Amino acid sequence: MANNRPSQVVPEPPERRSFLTRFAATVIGGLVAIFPFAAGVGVLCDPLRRRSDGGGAGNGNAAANGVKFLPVCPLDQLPDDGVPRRFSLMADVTDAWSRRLGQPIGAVYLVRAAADGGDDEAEAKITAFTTTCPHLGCAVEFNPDASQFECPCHKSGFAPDGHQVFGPSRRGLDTLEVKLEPHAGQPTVWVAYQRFRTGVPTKEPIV
Amino acid sequence: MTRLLDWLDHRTGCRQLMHDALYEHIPGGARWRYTWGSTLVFAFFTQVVTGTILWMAYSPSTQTAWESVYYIQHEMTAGWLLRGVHHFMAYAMVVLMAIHFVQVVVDGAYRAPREINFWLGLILMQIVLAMALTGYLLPWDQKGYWATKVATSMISLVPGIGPALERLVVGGADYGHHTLTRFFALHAGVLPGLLSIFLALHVALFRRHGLTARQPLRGPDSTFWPEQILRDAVMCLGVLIVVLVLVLQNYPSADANLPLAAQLGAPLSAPANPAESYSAARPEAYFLFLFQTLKLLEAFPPLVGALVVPGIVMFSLFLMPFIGRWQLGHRFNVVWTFALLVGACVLTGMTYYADHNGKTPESQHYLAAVAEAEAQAARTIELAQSPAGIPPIGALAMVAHDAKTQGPKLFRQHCAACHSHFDPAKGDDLTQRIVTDTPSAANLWRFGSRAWVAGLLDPEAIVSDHYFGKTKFIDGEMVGFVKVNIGEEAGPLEGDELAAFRRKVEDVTYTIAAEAQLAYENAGEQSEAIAERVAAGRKILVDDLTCSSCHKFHENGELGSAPDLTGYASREWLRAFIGDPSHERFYRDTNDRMPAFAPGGDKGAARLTPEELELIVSWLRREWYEPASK
Repeated sequence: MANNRPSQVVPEPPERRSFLTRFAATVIGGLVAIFPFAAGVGVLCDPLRRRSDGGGAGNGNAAANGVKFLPVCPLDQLPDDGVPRRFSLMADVTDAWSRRLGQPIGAVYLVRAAADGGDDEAEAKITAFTTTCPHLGCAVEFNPDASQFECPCHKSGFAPDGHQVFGPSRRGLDTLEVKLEPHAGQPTVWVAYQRFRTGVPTKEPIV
Repeated sequence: MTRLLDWLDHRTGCRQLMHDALYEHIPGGARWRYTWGSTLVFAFFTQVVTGTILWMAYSPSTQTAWESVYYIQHEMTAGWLLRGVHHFMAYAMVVLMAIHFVQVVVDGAYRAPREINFWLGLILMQIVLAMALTGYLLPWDQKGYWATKVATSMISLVPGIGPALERLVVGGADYGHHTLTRFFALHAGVLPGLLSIFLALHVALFRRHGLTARQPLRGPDSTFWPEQILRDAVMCLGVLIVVLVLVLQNYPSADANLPLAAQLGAPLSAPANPAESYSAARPEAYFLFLFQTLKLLEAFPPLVGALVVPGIVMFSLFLMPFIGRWQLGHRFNVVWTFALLVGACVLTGMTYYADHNGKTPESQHYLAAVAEAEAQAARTIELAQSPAGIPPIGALAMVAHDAKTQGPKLFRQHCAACHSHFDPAKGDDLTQRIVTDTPSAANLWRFGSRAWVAGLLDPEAIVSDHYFGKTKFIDGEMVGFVKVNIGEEAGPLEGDELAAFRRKVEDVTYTIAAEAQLAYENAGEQSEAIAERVAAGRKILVDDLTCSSCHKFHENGELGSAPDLTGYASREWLRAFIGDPSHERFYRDTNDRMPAFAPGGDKGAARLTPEELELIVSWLRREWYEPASK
């Protein structure tokens, strides 16, 4: 301190008054300091009260557990040879303020086994897998040479029926609900697209 | 706990730091007048915290800035509170800065050895004002956009390097994505960083020189903690309460229809539209005195009012420590400070009065522009909350496809030279009201509806200015027909006979209006009763009134002598009619003066693009999105 004036002796204030001052200064000071955070906590925690969009803009189809079915491909474009094929899924997306129509929102693998009967049986013979690795969320790819799904990130491997063959994943590939219904005038494979928690042994949907 | 503190203190010396910070010497004891600097630190702290959280939700580009701010304000939890606090704390900061400055000058705290700290304070002042200016643009709304344009144009007035400097600030020749990214980097990065550095220097020098104690001292010396901190905290609480009052000032609003987020916090006007100049563009209130200075000095080159005068004033502030060396100079500084403050207040008041008095044409123009911008903003928010939502290319495109807002503009531009569009009976929605001073064609308010057709079949109404009064059709066959076959026919009738005749004519209005298939007219009524009257009117139209002897009506009558009544005022009919009224289907060679608006419909070029034509048709039919709650 560059104050040349001789400092006066500060008399001790009465104990009680000093305590009250300290107490009030701490409380009011704390209140004031917390205020800017309090003003922002709503916006900061806003994502917690938002739910996953789930994709589809609603084509008037039945929803399974609140998840909308999305058309994937016409049935006749899916050979019944039991080989997994990859398809992109398109849907209308609400992303914060913007609404985008017909956006790619993810991909699925469809596997169709041979069936003798009609469409009912064909439906039962189609399996849909999400491409999201249940380990930590990388995208799995089907390797036709080894005839298995492989995750490029941490080397998990899955059989064409989805069962885990090797690697660190704690469960097999996640299946998605499938149905057959006409779309644009032809029999079409629909999939209830949803995401699941990764890294856990059980399949738990993210809402 | 003590052991942990010992461990920490041994490595950092934190106890000594805390002690130095808390037990600063205060000669003469704590006083309220020493709190202003602390309130400024508090205001800056609030801006950093609220600004950082806003940053997490803000997206700086021309297609997302307004949109993300809209989302914060109207969709995110208590977003209006966060924005409101950030906005009004900026105001508070400017006011507190002025108070702090006045106190420093009055107390002579700029004298040796504190000159440098005084100059640091002036630099801080410039930084705070620059933050206010850059922050105003970020919502990318009409207000901020047009006001900031003025500010950046001033930069170009700097001799020599002006144009290059403006380009560097704006990020290109025109406002765009890079204007926002640059302003945002300045507002949230460069300027707060500089402010932090200069604030640290300012406080360090303040600590070095000590407080400028107000003489005479009131009591014994004390320390910063706890007496002065208590006073500081209470003062900050006061600032905070004032800010909260400002955030909540419009609640409860007179307009109960407005959602909560539209009433509270900081205003958000319509998205910035370079094609639509906003004649109520004003800077934020604390810059209004500069705006007025510019206006008062308009006799001089703009450089004088924009840069020279503010520059000289700023320079005079920098000189204060030298002038204040003499007692007389100090008095001059005090008087000069108050003169500047009073001057700024007077100039601000002048602008405010000139804008808000409501008497001068300029003021009326200003208030009308504000009202229109507010209506536009409300409409944009309505559309943003509609199921269709904001398209990826932004809210401006969304508004451009909205018949309710674009219809009146297109109508004014292309139709209002002859046609009006207003409800003659009662006060309609002002945004939809277009009154032509000298109408020379029909009033198209609810064209094709039952009420409109009823007027056409009324012998008095049809010759009024709302219909054919100012057209050449006043001497035409339709007017003659209505006068004779409806007016004179009804003349001798009385009682039940008159009522029956009137009902017959009314049935015909039902029939013709049904052709238009107007959504607003068919909503919420018993369709069976209407269908009966439409069917009855159909018979009367053909057999009784014999409209089809001139007009074609479905399978009856021929085209060629009068406009087609089939699908009258329907989308398709309107599109074709506006496209080419002289077409065989409509007026042929009896067309009065109405030009063809469609591409290829007339000899000349198209007056309306296909999209514009659709918008006008939708607007005349009142087909636009309205929220369900209304």
